[in-house]
Amino acid sequence: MGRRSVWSDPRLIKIASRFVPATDEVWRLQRGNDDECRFFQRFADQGHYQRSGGTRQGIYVCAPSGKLLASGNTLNADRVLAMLQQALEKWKALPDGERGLPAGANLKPAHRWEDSFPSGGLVLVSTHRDLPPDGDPAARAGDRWNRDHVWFSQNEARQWLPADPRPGRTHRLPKNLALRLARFHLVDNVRGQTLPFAAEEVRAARLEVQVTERTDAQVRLKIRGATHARADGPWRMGDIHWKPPREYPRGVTTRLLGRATYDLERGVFIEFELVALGQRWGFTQNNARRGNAESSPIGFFFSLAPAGEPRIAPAFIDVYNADWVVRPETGD
Amino acid sequence: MLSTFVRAATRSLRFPAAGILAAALLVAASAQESSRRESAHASTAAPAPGRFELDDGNFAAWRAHLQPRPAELAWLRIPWLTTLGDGIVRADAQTKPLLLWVMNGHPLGCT
Repeated sequence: MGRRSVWSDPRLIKIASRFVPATDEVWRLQRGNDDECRFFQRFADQGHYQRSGGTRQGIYVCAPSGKLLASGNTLNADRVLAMLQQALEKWKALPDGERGLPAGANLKPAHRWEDSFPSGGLVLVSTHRDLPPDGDPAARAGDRWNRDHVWFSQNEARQWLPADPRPGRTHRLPKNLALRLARFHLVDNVRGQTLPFAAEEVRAARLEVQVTERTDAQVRLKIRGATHARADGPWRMGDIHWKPPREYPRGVTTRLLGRATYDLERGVFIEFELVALGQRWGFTQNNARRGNAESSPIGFFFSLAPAGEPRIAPAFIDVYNADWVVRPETGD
Repeated sequence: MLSTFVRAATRSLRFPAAGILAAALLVAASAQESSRRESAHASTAAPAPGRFELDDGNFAAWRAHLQPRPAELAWLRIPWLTTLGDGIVRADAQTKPLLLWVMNGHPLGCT
């Protein structure tokens, strides 16, 4: 919601140019022990939470030295604007000797999931929305939506089409790749973070890929499929940090249709669009569905990440069914 | 269960104090039954497919519906760096303060 209510405000877009703006995932920063995490904790612990430990979500302004200039956690653009203006005043008044990064400072993280970015693979951006109850795509889309990134390695990307991609051939997407979509991406996180599905909770995940045309090295594909994931309640993914404090029965069922073009010479997808429409039900701790756990329509759109798209790991990268993902030594 | 409470509440209307209690019980029973229904529904099989057919004829319309509108991506006009470390290093190089936005889930991804 901060995307819409705060950072889409023209006044904040304008004032941001007087800073170096950066974003990051806070769960690692607030818990980790590497130099980057400790640098964050030193100034964040002095911020709006006024204590050590616990969440550190929010907005912080600091000098490169680590001196905190302002912090807060609000969805109110006026308050954020005021905070940033005050921070700029403090920055102006800060002596030069207290501004800069100490010589020899090392902020290299011990591990980042983005280091496993699948170069040359299939990298998608997804958009997730509630759908209009009357099923009319011409209706105005709701304001609540979320996004994620989907990663397939170069080897996995090639598995989306048959070994010999002749027109008319139909190929079933390998089970592990279909499961990745059903477990980690066709999930109800439209309004907030949610939980993944265990493999055994995916009752169906079938995607058929048909070669519709081949022109030299370019193979045009049509994708059709259906998924059905249902968690009856008991947590089935072991003692990991996603484990919820109670049971959350929930499910998502979808039908998928898409088009893609793969370049055999370059070994990459040059076009990829996949729509999934379906129903969700139930709720989880943080996905803001407690008041409407009853079934409602949900939609997803997957497309190629555009050139220049930042390398952001998928939400569930730490439990991804991908042996090429490098995991941290600490087990985080 | 609910009908039992309805009958009890009706009989109690002749006695105001008891009627108030019966009404409260009626509300509580309704809420309890609604909660049971919610739990039961959440644990049953998937709801029947609705009216959301997806085919070649409406693919473009659903794609347009689902894609973010330009106004919904205004926040990306800010040139966000993707890590704290990158932000601090660049802020030092440019002699500017760092503006850091952090959330559970990366703000440029799923939050």
